[in-house]
Amino acid sequence: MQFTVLAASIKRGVGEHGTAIRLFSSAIGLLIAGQLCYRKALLTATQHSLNSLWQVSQSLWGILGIGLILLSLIPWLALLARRQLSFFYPLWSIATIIVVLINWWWFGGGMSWQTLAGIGLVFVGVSLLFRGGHSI
Amino acid sequence: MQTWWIIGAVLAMMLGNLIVRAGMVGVQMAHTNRLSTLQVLRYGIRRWQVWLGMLLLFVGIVAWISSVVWWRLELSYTLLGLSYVATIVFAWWFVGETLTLEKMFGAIIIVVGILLIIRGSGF
Repeated sequence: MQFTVLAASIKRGVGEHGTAIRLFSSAIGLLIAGQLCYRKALLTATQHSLNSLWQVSQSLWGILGIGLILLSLIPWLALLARRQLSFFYPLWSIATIIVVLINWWWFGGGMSWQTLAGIGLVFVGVSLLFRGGHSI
Repeated sequence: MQTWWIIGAVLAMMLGNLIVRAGMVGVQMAHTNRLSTLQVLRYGIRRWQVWLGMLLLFVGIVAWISSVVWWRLELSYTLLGLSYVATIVFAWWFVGETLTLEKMFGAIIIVVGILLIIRGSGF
């Protein structure tokens, strides 16, 4: 019974905010992919300056990263026309969680109790944001 | 130099987002009927605020990613987290968004959570 109520409320929520969810998912997905590509390019830099940033941006991974970051701005733009920035900007923190999970799952990175507690706290923060309102 | 780079990156992202939001709110206010996503984008790119905001946002993102990879992970994430809290206040002040206690506490809890993640994973 409770599962039916929960499923119905999730379905209603997705129906009401379907476009916003799709736009946010696209923006954050493209941003994460762009970030990972650009990180790969940055690791090849021998010096850490504006000049080396320019050189890195001309490499294959750099161009791919920049392209994906620029692409992520399109759904972000459409999202900001309909929803509050003060709600969706803090949700960028979800990108950090996803990058850490990718690092742990695929690259064998660290996952300690601190990381898990941090992920839990971020979700508590996000649920508080939801209660704080997000419509225009 | 590193600290100023990180501060500049975070400020550019925050300002860029605020300017883009102001531009897109202007698009919605100029049209009484409900616009489709494509229409919103079409009207949005005619506004200078959107272009300026996107430029700042792009520069900020690239500079911030480089600061995380090259230098000080904790400072970069701390300042990014603090910009979430500042954005809530500035968006209320300049764009007229709602400011609630839940939003403020939510953003502060997210900052603490992110710092724990970064310390714990060493990413």
